Amino acid sequence: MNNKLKVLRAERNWSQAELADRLKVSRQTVNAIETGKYDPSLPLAFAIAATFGLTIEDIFLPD
Amino acid sequence: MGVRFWSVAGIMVLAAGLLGGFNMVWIRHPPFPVYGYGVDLVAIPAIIAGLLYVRRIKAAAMDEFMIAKKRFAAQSGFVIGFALFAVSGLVPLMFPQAYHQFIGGMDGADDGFIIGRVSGMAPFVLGLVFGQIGAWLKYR
Repeated sequence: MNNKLKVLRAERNWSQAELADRLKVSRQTVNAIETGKYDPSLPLAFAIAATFGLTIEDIFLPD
Repeated sequence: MGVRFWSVAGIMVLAAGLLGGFNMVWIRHPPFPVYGYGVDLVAIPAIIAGLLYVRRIKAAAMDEFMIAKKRFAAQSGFVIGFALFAVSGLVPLMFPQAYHQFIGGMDGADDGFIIGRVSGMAPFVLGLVFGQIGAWLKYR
């Protein structure tokens, strides 16, 4: 699954650690999602979408 | 995992090792000393409580990705361990001479029992190590 997490984070000038704090997950989790090594659970995907004020479909794209 | 986790975990492992060492000494000098029973009575529950506390710190520091990573390491580690265990069963068939020489060199059934325990467990221990390496390689 592809995602726009890195772009959205860069637009807001947030570091991975800052986003991780907002999502209450580890920085490694944010890194793994950004690099496509890990697909988040549905609750975490909703939390990510809420953090950016977008929908899940706006952030995550099928391969 | 934070400094607190490693500090408490380190202290707990050292305490458990120390207690094990003391018991090994006491058990060699029967009767087992009364103060030994006292120390065990206090220290064993304290160590168990400490280890549960370490587990709680670890659980609090783990998010879903860490759990997925750990699960991958454990599952692949067990499969690798079982594969190594199966492969180790071929050694006597492939190298019968070396195998018989090894068996002949052992000092009786006690030796065989201990070596059997160690060599039966070793593939799974190696599997767990390889599982951790695999998880690290996959998610680094």
